[in-house]
Amino acid sequence: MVFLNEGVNRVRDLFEEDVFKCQAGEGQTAPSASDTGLETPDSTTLLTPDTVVADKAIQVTHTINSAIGGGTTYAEQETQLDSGDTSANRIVHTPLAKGASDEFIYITTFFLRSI
Amino acid sequence: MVDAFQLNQETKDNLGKPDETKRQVFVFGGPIQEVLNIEEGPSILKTRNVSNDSIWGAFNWGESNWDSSYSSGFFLGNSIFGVLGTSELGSTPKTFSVVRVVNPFNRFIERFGYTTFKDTSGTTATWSGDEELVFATSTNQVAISNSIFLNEETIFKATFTVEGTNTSDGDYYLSADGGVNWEVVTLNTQHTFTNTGQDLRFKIGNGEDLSVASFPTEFGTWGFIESPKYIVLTDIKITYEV
Repeated sequence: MVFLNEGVNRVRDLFEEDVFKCQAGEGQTAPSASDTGLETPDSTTLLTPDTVVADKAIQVTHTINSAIGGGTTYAEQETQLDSGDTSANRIVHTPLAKGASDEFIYITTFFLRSI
Repeated sequence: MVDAFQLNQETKDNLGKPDETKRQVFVFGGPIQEVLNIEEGPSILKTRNVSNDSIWGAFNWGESNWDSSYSSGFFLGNSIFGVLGTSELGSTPKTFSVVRVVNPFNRFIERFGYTTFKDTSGTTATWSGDEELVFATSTNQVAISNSIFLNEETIFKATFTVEGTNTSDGDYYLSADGGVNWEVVTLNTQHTFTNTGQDLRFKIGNGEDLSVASFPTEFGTWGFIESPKYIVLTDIKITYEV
């Protein structure tokens, strides 16, 4: 048997449909698979992302405009699934302060692959 | 959804026949041969300061912060700026700068479904977001990436792996300092950077020795070391140490 591309892309579409919100935070602890969300989330950044699919891939774009988070130093970000009950991933980067006139955009790519 | 792909899940009704759903769906005629993975790829953080932007619909519209630069202003009747129906009302917005790029497990993956990491100013190979990177036979071409790791951490080592057609015909380079210094790498072999830095990028060619753009031939002319090769790449992985 072999996974067909269209079957893999059906799973991709299910994943895309399940993407709910993205959120940023200030936690700096390295991510772990056992994490259940952000360490120090900033709820003002809990926003609906844009998604773009490609063959066996999905890209999630989380835009935080200048009205949000001025003065906050962000270091982590997540993509939530399932109406926010599940975090799909958590990334951590070196801290970056967001000024009151700054826009932030996080772009994360997910791949699906049969092995 | 995750549960649907837990191949080791063993479920069974308490009453009646055993639940054979898993076998019907995932196992047909023998042991499991395949696994479907969802992989987390690279994440980018881009930022820009919009303090002087004044695009219609932007957040800060109406806050008296029009650009002071005439070169980006809006002029009714001007053939370049403010063309009704074409241009946005207001100044040209500032561009975003990539300030962070991080990857799970320090492993960058590129499968060419997007052009997010394409250096559009330097790439001549076909990298158009259709799941492959193509180098033509007829000409020397190059593919250059933007930052694939950028996180205020010094990169010391990296390993470059690829999948595709005629991969051994390519010339592969990495830069740890944002493209200032390119270092030749051997596929599947860990490379230790001579010029360390905090901005990892890759470069691939199909024949031209990119470290010395051209060289004098025995005929007194300038030429390339190799003739261009047809190469198609579908998958790149670069694992690095910081």
